[in-house]
Parts: sequence; structure tokens; C-alpha cells
Amino acid sequence: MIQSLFILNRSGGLIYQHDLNDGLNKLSANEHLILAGTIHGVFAIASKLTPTAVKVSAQPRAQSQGSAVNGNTSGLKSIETDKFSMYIFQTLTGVKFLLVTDPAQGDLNSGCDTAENVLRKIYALYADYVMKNPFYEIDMPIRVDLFDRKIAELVKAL
Amino acid sequence: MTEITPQVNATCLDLLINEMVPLAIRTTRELKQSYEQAIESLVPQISIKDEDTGDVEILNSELLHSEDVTHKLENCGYSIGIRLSEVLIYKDSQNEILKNLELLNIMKFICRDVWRELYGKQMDNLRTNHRGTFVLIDNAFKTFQRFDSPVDLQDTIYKCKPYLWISSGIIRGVLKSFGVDSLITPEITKFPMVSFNIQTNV
Amino acid sequence: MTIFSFWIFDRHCNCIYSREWTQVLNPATESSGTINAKANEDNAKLLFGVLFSLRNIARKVGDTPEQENTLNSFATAKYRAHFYESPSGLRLCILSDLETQNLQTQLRDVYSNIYVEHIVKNPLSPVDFKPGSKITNQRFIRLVDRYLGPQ
Repeated sequence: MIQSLFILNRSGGLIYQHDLNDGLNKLSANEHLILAGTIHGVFAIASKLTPTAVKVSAQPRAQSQGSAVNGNTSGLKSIETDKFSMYIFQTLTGVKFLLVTDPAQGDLNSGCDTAENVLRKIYALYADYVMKNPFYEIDMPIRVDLFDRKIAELVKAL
Repeated sequence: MTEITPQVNATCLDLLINEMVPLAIRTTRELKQSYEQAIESLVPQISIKDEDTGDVEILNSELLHSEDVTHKLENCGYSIGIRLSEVLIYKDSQNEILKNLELLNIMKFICRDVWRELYGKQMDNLRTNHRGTFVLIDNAFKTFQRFDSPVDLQDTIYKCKPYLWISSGIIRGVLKSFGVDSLITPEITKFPMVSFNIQTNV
Repeated sequence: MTIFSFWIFDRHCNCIYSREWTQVLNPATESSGTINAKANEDNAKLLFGVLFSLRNIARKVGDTPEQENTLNSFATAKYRAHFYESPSGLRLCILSDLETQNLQTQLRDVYSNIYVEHIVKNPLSPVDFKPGSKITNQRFIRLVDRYLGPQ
């Protein structure tokens, strides 16, 4: 079950936060900002911590060419805790989508894939209803009712 | 009505024994200092400062192998030994060994009953020259089971030695309770193997 | 299942043990990789920072009045980090491949059967490490290697 959704702009600022269920603690606006900032920082550091053994064995992939900051595909992807799981999906433009769900059951990798699918759908909605909205100012908090409704529909349909 | 056998938690006991050597060093050090500082005062301050919790610096003290510390530990063991043998004899008055109190039997009593009570196992070897000298060998001394210095094996052995004086004192105490005076030299032959050289004709 | 490295942080937030295994065993030295490598000092700080931040998020979002929430692991596309914190504030972490999903039991085992037994109950080893000092006790290293290292 999906608990909440966060969207972060490329500089780690929180531009959207919506609780979709009430299974977890309600945080203040300030706490949401801190959480977003922390995840933004940890995302980058986590990729720096990649063990040398993996770096050696992995084939040089597309991401190693060019130094586009946003192209970082080895950053933080998921967090497992007793009470919830969090999934992070970063687009090529550096926007991050964070999904907080109930704790993963069973295989963590397939749980991660499922979550990424949902996040990609949300990304599509973001592109459709936020980016295409002429009244939305880039990098600013998203206040678009239609987007809210679409997200709610998507979550309901899952 | 069922009687509950009193039991001691093995870990607590281990930790208590582990603390004996640092305690002996601390008291020795504090006593020395307070005597030096305040000879005129007749009441020396012997409270122990809470200065080094958690680290093991204390074992690097030059007092580790000093006469005072050795003596304190050996004495501690000695009083335990004297009392312990009384308890064991009372508990097991049917013991075959105790029916014939010759020296070799007393040694066997130490190897079997005393050692089992203290360390949950018997001594592995008992040698004698039949002229009052005995060597008691324990192949894996239980107190040393978890001892391992961060430095190296030599350091481990160096710092383990004082702990042996407790057991050595216990043996002397048990012998004394049977009226035998003795001189005991403990030794770490090959860690964690230990031996106690006992001379009884002193 | 592959384990890349193992880390211990004490309650003063210092890294007191780090072990990195390379998967190619060197038959000459019997052990492979590094123990408490100086080169890993910075990584240790980064790792601790990440674990600490995520643990705080876990607590903030997931704590209930009855129970504290605990961080179990986090993952990137390349590796997974498993985390265990003892009630006394000791923190253990293992970096593994993504196939390895849950090492909570193993972390708890290392804590209770190796750390407690051979560091805490060992009177020759400190239990409160000064900044910069590490666990160098050979028996501990051997037991951890045998339990977590490449077979």
C-alpha cells in the first residue's frame, strides 16, 4: 500500500508532497523539507560508496561516459525499514520521485521493480499534467489540482 | 517443597574475575599515591577514581607484575581456596578420595573436584616425582578462553599471567585446609595451556 | 551471495573496524582485502553519515508510541547495505550484492557471538575505543572472516 509521494527538484528542493494514506506519522512541512534534503544528499553519497569489487567487475556502461550529474544511475534506490519501504527514482533531468510504501514483502528486488513501475507512471503524469501546464513555474512547488486527482486515481487503481 | 540450587551466572562470574587484576592494580596504585601524598594523615584515601572505564590502559601499568599486585591476587585465591575446600568436603562427604588423605589423593581432589567446581572441567594431567613435587596441567585454562590482546600473542601471555595467581592461591588454600604447606609457581606453558608447579616439602 | 565489506561503528560514531574483501583469494597470504585500511577512513565517515541520516528518517516517519522503527537496509543499483544497531548504540553494517536480501540474523550473530564474546568478555581488549583506535584482535578478525568472508 502506498503511503506517500514526494517530488524533489534537481537541487533537492521539495516541490510536491502528498500523503496518500495515513499509516505513518504525520510530519510537519519543515520535517518534509529536511527529509527531502537528506535523501538528496544521501542519494549522491550512496553511489560514492559503491564497493571497489563491484566497480571492477561491472562492465563500463553508458553511465560512465560523460559527466552529466543527472546521469547518476547508481545512487540510492530503496530503503527498507520495519515499518515502511522507500523507493527513489531519479529521472535523467535530475528530478527525484520518492514513494513511501508499506514494508516490502518477499523479494526485495522485485519489490523495487514494481515500485519503479509505479514511479515511472507518476513521472508520466508529472510530464503530462505539470510540465504541460502553462501556469506551472519550473522548480517551484506543484499546486495543480488535476495532477493531484490523477495521482489519486493511479494509486486507487493499483 | 523443592529446594532451589543456588546458581551463578557464568558470564557475571567471568566478568567479575576479569576485573580482579585491574582492581588489584588500582588499589595498589591508589594506596601508594595516598601514602606518598599524605603520610601525616592517618586515614588514607583509598576510594578508586572512575578514570579509565572501558579501556585497558590499566593493564599496561608497571604494577602488573609487581609484588603487591601478585600478593593481593594470590591472597584472594588463598582465602577462596580455604573456604571452598570446606564447602566441597561438606557437600560430598562420601567422596572416595577423601577416605585416604595422603598427598596424592589430595592432589587428585584438587584436579577433579576443585577444578570441576571452578572451571567445569578436570585438570588434564597430574605428574609427581613422588618426593613432594607435583605438576598439575590444564590444557585449556577456562579463564583464558576469551583472552586475546589487540597487540599480539606475547602481549596476551604477558597480561594473562597475573590471573593465574588467583588459581594458584586457590590451590594453596585448599592444600592448607588439609594441613599441607606449599609453594606454587604457575606457568603458561603454551597458551592457553597452564601448569602449576607445587612443592609441598617446604 | 557476495559480501563486499563489513563495518562497525561505536556509540561515539567512530569506525572501530572495517574489513573489505576482494573476491579473488590470494593463496599466498590466505586472507584477501584490507583490514582497518587508512584508505577507507573517508568512506567510513560517508557510510556512517548515510546510515545515520536514513536511520533518523526511519525513526521520524515510522516510530510508533509502542515501538521504535528500525532501518534494515538500503540499496542502490549496485549494492545493498545491511544495518543493525544494538540497544547499546553499536552499529554494524555489511555491504553485499543485490541478491543478498536480508542479513539481519547474520549481523545480530556477529554482534552477540563474536563482538560480545571476544571483545566485551575479553579483559585484554578495550570496550570503549579511543578515537582512531581499532579492533586489531586476531581472534576477532579470524572469526569474522570465517563467518562473513568469501568461502
